[in-house]
Amino acid sequence: MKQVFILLLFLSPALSAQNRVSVDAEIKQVNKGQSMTVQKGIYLNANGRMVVRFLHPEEYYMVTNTFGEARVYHPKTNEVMVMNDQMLSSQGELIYYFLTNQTEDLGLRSLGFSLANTRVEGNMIIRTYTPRHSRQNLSKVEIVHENHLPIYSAYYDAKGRMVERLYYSDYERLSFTAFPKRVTGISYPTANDSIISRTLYSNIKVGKDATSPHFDFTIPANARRVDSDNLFQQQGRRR
Amino acid sequence: MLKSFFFCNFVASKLNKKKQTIKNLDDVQVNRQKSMKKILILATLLAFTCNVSFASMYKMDNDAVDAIFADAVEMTSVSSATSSLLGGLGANAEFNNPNPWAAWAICWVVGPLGIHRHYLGTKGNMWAIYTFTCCGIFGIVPMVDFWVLFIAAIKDDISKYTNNDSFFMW
Repeated sequence: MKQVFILLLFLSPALSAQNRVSVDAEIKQVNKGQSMTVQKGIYLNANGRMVVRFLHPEEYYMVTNTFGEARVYHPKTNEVMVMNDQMLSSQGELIYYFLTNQTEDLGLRSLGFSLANTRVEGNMIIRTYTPRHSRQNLSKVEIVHENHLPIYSAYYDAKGRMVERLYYSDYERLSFTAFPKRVTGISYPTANDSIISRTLYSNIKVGKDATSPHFDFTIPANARRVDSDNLFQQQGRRR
Repeated sequence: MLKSFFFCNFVASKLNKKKQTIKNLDDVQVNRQKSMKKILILATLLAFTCNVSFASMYKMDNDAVDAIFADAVEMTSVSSATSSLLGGLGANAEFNNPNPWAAWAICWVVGPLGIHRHYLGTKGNMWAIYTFTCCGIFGIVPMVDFWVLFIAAIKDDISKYTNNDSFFMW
C-alpha cells in the first residue's frame, strides 16, 4: 500500500504536467485600413492557474486563476494591480474551453446559459443558448459544430442584434483535444460597421513539452501595488 | 365470312388497343423512370447546394481576410496607435485634454482592443484587459463605449470617461 502511495506521489506531477499547455497567440484587428497587433503567450496549468504574458504592444503579465483572482503586472514600472472578478478568471480565455475539452458549449453553461434549441443543417449541428437570467448582456449565442468541433459561434445583444461572430478553423489534434489554430472574428459596433479580428495560435506545447519558465511566473514581492478597488464595480474615479 | 371478318377485325382492334395500352403503359413507365431520375439528380444538386450554402455561411474565406490585413497600415504601439489615429482623423487633441470626437473615432476604429481607453487616460493595462476578456466580453463593452462616447461628444463633455479606471467606464 505504501509503495502504491509513493508511486502515485511520483506520478502525480507527471499527471498534472500532462495537462499543462502553452500557446503563443497573435491577435490582429483591422478597421478603416488601420490594424493593430497584440502578441501574447498563454501558459495554462492543470490547476487552472493561467499566466498571460503580453509581448506587444507592451509587456504585461496577467496572472489569474479559475476564481478570477487576477493580478496585472507591468515590469517596466514594477507596478501590480490586484483585481478580483469572475470576468478575469482563466475561463475568460476562449481557448480554456478547448484545452479542457469543453467544446460543446464553449463554457456557456458555466457563464449562466442553457441550451434552448438544437437543429441539424446538412452535416452541421446548430445549438442555440439563452441566458438563464435576463441580466445577461447577451440574449442568445449560437454555436455550430461540424465533425464534433465548433466552427462558428455568434453572439446577439439584448435586442437580438448580432454583435460578434467567430469562425474557428485550422484545427490541430492534440493528445487530449483538438485546438483551432485560427479564430477569425467580426464584431459589429454599429449596424453599418464592422471590425475584423484574426487570432493565430502557434507553438502549442502540451505536457512534458510545455517547459516554459513562465508557467511558474510570480510577481516580484517588491512590486508597487496599484489599487483598483474592484475594477469592474468601480463607477469612475478621477485622479 | 363477313361475320368472321368483322369478328377478326373486332379482335384485332381490341388487340391493337391492348398493344396501344401496353405501349402507353410502357411509355408511362419509361417516362416515370426518367422523371424519377431527374428528381433524384435535382435533389442531389439541391442537397449539395444547400450544404455549400450552409457551409459558406458558417465558414470564413481565410485568404480574403489575410488580404485585408496585408493591405492595412500597422500601428506599432498603443501610444503610436493613438497618435496615428489622431493624426489620421486630423485631431489636434492632447492626451491630457482628450477630444471627445477623437475618442469616439478611436473607439470606432480599434474599440475592441481598448485603445480609446488609453487615449482617455485610463491606466495603460486596460487594453490588455479588453483583449483578455475576448475584446471586451465579445465586443459588448466597446460597443457600449462607442455609443456613450458618441452621446458625450455631442454634449461636448467626456469628463466622466477621462481618467476612468473602471472596466465599465459608463
